[in-house]
Amino acid sequence: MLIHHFVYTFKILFRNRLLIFWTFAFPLVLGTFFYLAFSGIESGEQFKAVEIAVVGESDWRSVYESLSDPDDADRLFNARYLSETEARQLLDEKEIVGYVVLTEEQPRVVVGGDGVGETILTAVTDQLLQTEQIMQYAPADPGAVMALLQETPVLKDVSGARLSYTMIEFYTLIAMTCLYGGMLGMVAMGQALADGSVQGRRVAVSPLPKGRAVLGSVLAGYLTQLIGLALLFVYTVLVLRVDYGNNLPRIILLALCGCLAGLSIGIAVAALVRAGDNTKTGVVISVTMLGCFFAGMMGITMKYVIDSHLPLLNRLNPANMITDGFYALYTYDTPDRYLLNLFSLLAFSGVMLLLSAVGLRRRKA
Amino acid sequence: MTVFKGVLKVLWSCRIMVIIYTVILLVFGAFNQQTGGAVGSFTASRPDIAVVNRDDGALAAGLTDYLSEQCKIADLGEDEETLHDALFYREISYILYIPAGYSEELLAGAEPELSVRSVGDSGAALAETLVTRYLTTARACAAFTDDSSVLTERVESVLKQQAVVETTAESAGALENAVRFYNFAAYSILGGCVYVICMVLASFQNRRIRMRTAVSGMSLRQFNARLLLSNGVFALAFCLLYILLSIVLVGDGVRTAQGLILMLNILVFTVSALTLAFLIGNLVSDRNAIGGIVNVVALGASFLCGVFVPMEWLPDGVLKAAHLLPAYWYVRTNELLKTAPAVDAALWRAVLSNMAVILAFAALFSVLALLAAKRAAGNRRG
Repeated sequence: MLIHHFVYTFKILFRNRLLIFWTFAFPLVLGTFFYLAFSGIESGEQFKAVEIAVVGESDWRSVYESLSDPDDADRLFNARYLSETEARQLLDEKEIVGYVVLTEEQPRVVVGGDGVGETILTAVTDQLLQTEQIMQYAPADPGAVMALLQETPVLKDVSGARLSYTMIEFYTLIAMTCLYGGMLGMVAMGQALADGSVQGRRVAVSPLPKGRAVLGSVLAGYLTQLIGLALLFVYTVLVLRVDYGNNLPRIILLALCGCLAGLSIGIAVAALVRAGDNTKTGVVISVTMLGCFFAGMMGITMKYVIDSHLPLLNRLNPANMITDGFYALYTYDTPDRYLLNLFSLLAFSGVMLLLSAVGLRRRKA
Repeated sequence: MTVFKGVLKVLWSCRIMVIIYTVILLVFGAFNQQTGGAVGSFTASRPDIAVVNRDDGALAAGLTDYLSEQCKIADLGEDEETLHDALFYREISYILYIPAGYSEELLAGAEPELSVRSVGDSGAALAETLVTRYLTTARACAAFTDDSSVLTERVESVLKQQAVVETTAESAGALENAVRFYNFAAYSILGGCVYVICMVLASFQNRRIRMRTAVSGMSLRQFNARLLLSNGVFALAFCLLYILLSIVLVGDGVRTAQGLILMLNILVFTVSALTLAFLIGNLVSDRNAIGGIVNVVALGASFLCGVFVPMEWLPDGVLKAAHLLPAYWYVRTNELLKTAPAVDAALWRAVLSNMAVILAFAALFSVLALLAAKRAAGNRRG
């Protein structure tokens, strides 16, 4: 009887086209949009040589020439050597960020705004004046000063590779799919409760005990949810090349717990909210979207802001627990942060299920 | 008037959607205002960085002081997880670690190593330029004096030398805010306005309402014309509301010739959104499905056409595909205004040709909507 109820609930869920769209297709479509829109962001933020122009002649011109060496991949500038009129025209057309006018006296910088490129141009030009000043401390040996100034300090980059912050968008997408699974849990529960659907009324008058009916529905909802999530994982890993880290068992465990949290929200809404289907769906969608907003879906910085200033909010937010769990797997080698999120999800699901059980115990049918 | 009243009734039932999209735009507009830059004189950019100083030497202290003047140093402590989180979420773009004994070794003529972590953006490049500048200056000055107080004084005096900087920037900051606001408004128009019009059309496609209309004294053509007019009035009101919001929120940025073009552009874009809504409304009558379709269309167009992510960051392939969507031509005009030196004949030619493309899309959507409506009517008769 339990298996019979499980199989039919599973079929009913799969035939609900709207439900399948929101839990299966919508995350895939949204993931594709994320991929298309964000794939250029990180390469776009990487430093590119600043476009400048150099006007006039002086001894300092060689400094700009060496900093614009086309053979140097890490060069600071792409310099063009023009008259002031030409440089001004390019500046007006925003082809260059600024230009430097070299004279026998002080160099003069003309910029078109307050950006970082403009600041780098002024910083380098400041350095020319500063070098002149240093020369005054050792007028007898300018060669020694220049030699010292050529020696750059040793800076060792220890950044590591895992700094791709757009991954957070995809982690929130997984979180959204897990929590949208709440709708599946809610509809599945409706199949077992007399006030949930016509089928629920039929089940209520059948000899199947309520506990078993609920269990069959919940398992059908969970399985449907896992199939949707597995599809999303396959798509994001194979097509969108999302990096979830290397620990597959931990990734699967986190996904299972995330789905459980989503399901428990749906069960709690079905058991505790006495309202029409639209209101219940509205509650699940609102909780999911608000949770994902705080976890960084609509702006990655939001997650950092909430984590830094309102940490309790994100500690209680299941969407953030899932997102942060994947972030911990992607970034850190130690399991502490991952385990904290995993146990938080289990605790959250436990509380939701407990509340649902209390709510259901009071009902006769 | 009967049709208009009916439309208003359905509109009222969809008020929450209109309010949600307007609030999103309002929050975006208000947030956007805080990021506007100063105008008139040059202000150097100050990159966000963190410094972990484990050295108690005078040189390390001087470097930290200098960086705190030139950069914004975040107070994050020495916890590696906190520092990494800040770097990952781009709260800072550069971390400098000064090891113990660094000052002493450097001044002794050795080549000690500094560790850095960087996201590799232009802020990090600027921070690295500043670190390098301080250290080379300090080492050069140290070669000609043994007195540490003289050294500090000299380094400070050297680093105070600054070139004369002129700026040509005018009200670019305000105009950029206006452009960002109008770009984002495309999402609100597509998500809110299109959704509501589709819901209105779906309501009027209800079988009972169609039958009532058929037996009334009004011809089908009259009925459709009034329906189009009513929705047109709503779309216009929606668009005017956003223009009004832009005047209140963005202020100076829209009270210019470029601002007027932004307003004209959104008006033309609203016409294409209206016809798109008619097309979707005629193709789909299931009210539940409309939410999904409009969401996909609005989010898709916004992600692909530079509404959410600046156009210059979008991959070329995406931008090429985006040519097939009116939102691309809308955003392109807005972006053009940001970079054009003046409102001249060349700019007008570019703006008008973009608007012509948007109107061509509107005409295409209208023809397709009419065809869909005709086919649906034929199916009903058949």
